[in-house]
Amino acid sequence: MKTNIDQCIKCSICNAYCPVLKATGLFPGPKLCGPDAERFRLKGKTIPAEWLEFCDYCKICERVCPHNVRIPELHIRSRIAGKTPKPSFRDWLLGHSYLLEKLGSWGTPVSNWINRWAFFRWLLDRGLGIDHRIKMPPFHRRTFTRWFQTRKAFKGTSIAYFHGCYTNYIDPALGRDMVEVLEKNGFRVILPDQECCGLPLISNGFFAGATRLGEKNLKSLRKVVEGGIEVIFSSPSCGMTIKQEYDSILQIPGASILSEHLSEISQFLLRQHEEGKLNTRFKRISDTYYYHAPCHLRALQVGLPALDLLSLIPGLKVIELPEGCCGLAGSYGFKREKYAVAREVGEEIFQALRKRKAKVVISDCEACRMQIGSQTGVKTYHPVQILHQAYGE
Amino acid sequence: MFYDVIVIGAGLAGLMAAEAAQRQGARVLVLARGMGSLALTTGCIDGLGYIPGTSKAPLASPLKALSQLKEEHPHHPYAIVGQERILDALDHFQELCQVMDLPYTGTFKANLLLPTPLGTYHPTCLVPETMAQGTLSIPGSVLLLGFRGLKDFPPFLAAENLNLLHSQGEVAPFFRAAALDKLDLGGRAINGLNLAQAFDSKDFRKEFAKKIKPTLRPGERLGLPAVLGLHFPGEAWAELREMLNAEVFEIPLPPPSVPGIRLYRKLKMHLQENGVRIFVGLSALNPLKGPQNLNGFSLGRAKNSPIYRAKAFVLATGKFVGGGLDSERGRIFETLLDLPVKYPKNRREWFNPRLLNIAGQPFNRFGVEVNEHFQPVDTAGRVIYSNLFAAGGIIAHGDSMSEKSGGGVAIATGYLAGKLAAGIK
Repeated sequence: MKTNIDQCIKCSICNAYCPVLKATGLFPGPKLCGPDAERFRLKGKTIPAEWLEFCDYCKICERVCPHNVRIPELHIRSRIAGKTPKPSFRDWLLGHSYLLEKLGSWGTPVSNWINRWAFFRWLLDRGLGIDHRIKMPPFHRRTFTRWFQTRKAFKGTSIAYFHGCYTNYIDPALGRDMVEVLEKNGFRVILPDQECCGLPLISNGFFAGATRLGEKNLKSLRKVVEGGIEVIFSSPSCGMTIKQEYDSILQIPGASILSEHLSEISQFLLRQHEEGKLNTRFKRISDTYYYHAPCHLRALQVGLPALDLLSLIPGLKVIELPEGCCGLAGSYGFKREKYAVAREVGEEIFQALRKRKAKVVISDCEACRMQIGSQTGVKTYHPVQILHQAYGE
Repeated sequence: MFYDVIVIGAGLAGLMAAEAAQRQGARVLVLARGMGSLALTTGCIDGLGYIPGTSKAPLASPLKALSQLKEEHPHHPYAIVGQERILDALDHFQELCQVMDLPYTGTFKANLLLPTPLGTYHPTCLVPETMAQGTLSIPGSVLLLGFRGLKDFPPFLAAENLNLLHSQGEVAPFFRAAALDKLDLGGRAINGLNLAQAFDSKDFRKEFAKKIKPTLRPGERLGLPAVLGLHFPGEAWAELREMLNAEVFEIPLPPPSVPGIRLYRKLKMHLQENGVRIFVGLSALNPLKGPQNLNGFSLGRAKNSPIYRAKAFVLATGKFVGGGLDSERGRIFETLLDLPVKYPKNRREWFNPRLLNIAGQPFNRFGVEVNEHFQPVDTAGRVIYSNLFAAGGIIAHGDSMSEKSGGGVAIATGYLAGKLAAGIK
């Protein structure tokens, strides 16, 4: 569906809720940058390129718009149209983070030493523009897929898991918990062949590369789906990319069939619960945790299934944090010129956490967990990890 | 997932319905396509400013004009709610605002006239305490202070126009204008939202007070655009009054409006703290219809889309701006459930050729017909879904634009519909 810019009634609600506009004067806001500027672009006129780069692609504008104008798509489309300068080497690196993660994981522990080395970070900062203040997550040599290969086969209904790069190289513990929680519910997890979903490439302006990865993923996932196996994902950003962007932004033929069979993990488990099939032998967790709903989960338009799911655990109180973007937005917050913007964007969430002296924050998205963890020092978990705790393992 | 009540729409009517239902002990979910239209309002609660076509002068009292309104528009939402329940709902709203630390003053029994940024007046009945001193019946002298670069508030024009009204005896105070030199907001545009954020900071307020103190004459009231803080307006307002030793008031600006956003945020936070879940940004809400009942909504068309069910539903989707109504050439329709909407077949009768005619635009009265229990009915007057209630702009026969009745109708019908929905077992 192509966005009709006449749907925009210029009410400026998007500007009122754009977190980047609030944080910096360098971005003119979604209304001007999207539907307003689109009129010029349609006439073949150029608009300042840096405007588009300041959009952090949180999709809040699209969400708050009373008329469903797909503003972020307009931003991306104008980048695809090639009216912006070629991305820098820094953006190439950040876009190809899956390669770096692969390399980093292979090179542990040396890669982690280097990453922690202040001089190296200074070089990255000055030389490339990757901010030295952002915490680099450590790589793991024993990746999730390696761990999975060493596991005994489990009998049960097959379910395919799209784990994404972060779970594989940086947070394999989440992958392990995912597998164990699914097995607790009688599922046999299989790992289809998979590449990076392509979102880092899209947001850094490498559309051809993203399409190549998308086509590979589509081919592999399609085979799984055609075999009657449902696919789940634990990262809302990966899931959103596959479900929505493959079709709307990258326009990969046949991508729309995936969206019917791809589910976010909490949504999937909640559906099991509604059908009376969820294993609910949860241990009591007498504690109060905070929950941050990632922007890309909200973009999936599935509600907040994790909150409903976690409410099944006896004793556990989960409080929803103020609705908003954490600011990291994948690779956005890593960039030197955007680090301060990213911190400012997430400030309302950080303040709420500091005020309530929160210890634990739950969020479905790895980037949100990274940002919230490093800015406030709280412990962060994926909702499935809390379920795993409650199952008592 | 199963809820007791699902409210569709996150405008004032929807949020009030959610609040009323939650207060009755119901588990409530709010589903909305966008953020709701509160950000497009002044943040004031209009009662009834005019009965279009009768008099050009604003009504002195919405309450006293109700019977006349009923004569003109027998099916007007106010006529269905009735006097007692309107007062009850507005009282409840004011108590709620007190609890939310965003106090509103005024009453449905009397209209207040507030200045607009263009120097006209706007009849309304409940106003945030930060605007109350702007009431045009309070005599004295007023300094209107603008910010250079803030396009939405031209103080000199406003003062000139208001003084014209003053000379005609329509408003009591006398006005004078000044503009503050261009502020540096860290490169950010000078607009209401950015200024409001700046006013959230104590240092900024101190600096501001120091700068304008010499301009302000003793005994003068200070009128500012409504930018005194996005998060802590009460605090900023009280502090400025103290530092300047003068009465201070805000004048609401064109959208996106800071006072409207304040009210939205406070209501939303209050609801969430009380266990109401709110999902905003749902582009595809597909109703699951039974023969006489509404069963729920599926969020999307895919077979794995989540489904939310409830015992009762409140439809508070607004009119054309909110997205509850839409039109094609020759057809006007309700966008969510395709409920019947009454409108003249002849397209010419939809519009008044004079855009800003005080009689209003006919299409602004279009909407869904309801019975005395706020249940949408078909052309024969039969209830369509026994567990569906309507609230706010989507109800036919009210025209918030020309009547200046939007907030009052939203609160009265929302409060009632929420209660009725919570009563469905």
